Amino acid sequence: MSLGIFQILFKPAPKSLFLWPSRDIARQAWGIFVFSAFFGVLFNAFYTDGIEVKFIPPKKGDWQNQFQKKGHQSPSYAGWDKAEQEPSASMPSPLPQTGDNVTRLSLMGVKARFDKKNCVFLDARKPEEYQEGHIPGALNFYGNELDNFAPKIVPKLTDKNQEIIAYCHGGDCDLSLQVAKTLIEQGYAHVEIFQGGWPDWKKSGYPIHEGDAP
Amino acid sequence: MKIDEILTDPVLFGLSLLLLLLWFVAACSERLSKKNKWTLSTTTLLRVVCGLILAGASLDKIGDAAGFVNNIRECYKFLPASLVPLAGVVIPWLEFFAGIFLLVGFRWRAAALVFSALMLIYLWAVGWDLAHGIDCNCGCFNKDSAEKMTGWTFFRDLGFLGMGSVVLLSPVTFAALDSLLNRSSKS
Repeated sequence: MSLGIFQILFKPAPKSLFLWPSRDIARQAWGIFVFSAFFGVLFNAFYTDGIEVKFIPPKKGDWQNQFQKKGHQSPSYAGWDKAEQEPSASMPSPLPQTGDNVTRLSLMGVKARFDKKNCVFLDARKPEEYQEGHIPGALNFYGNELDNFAPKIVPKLTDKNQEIIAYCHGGDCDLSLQVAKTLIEQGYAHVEIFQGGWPDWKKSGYPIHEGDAP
Repeated sequence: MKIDEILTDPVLFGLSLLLLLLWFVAACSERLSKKNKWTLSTTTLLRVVCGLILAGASLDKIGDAAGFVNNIRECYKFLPASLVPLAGVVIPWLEFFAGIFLLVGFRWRAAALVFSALMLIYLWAVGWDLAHGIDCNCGCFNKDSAEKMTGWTFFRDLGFLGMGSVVLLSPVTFAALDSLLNRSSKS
């Protein structure tokens, strides 16, 4: 048995042990794919929880119509296309927030963007917590008092293509999500959320800043 | 213990992979022939395991296509938006049929090719997300299990790809429907 390892390493595998897939195998695999595709589309058409599949070539701003649950309004992706913003914003989304289309970043992704220095951090926690410590350069934009904070913050975000990352306490805190959604509705194109939030950042030992100033 | 619990435990997965590898090495050293019992049983076991993994992973996605589509849209942003609903309908059934075919041994080498191709796509997708630092549920087995995407997900898919390749490259297997069909067509 100990010899077996060397046999594998230094001898070419005999033809009888390995058989490279022939063209027939590839053809059969293609057959399985086509069969499943047909079956899937057919099943979906008759399934009560099926989704609507439209064969539309991709067009800019067209894609929020691609997915609509039968009998429901499509979930709103407001802000991604201005022309479509009003009808989707006027009706509330019946689906849970899993489809909110805000990108969640991991600690690693946030650190990479932090090092690039071309992105704005928004701290969605209370001002007192912001004072105790925040990511260097982060602006305080408390999610529960958007109206009070917006006049101070929004003039600083002049470029709608500015990369913005919002964070809060991490876990199930949704203050940063509120901030991100509001900004997306205002037409900002690159808004993301730091899912781990302040606890993750503090734990990792990355630089922090204390006090009122960003 | 559910199948996705077993597969998401790194220790169990690593041990079983090691066991299979040892078994395969032993099989190769025994006697290098087509009729080798070790080789036969190894590839048969791997084939059944691959089938169970694939079919087990597909069931949840088939039941909740809308949730799966949401997951793709949220997590795998490299996919063109117009393809997302189609992928959400086709991929679960592709997994299901390839898994069942592997399990019963009907066109099992083609099914193993599909398995390996799917794993390659998943590897690329997970690698893309990891490289971009996107934090979301991978939606691999069970959308409710809220399994986060980490380096471990990438490693596990790599292991699956290895298992699928072994099945794809092995010329014979036990208890396959194909051999039964061949025999009956010959006689």
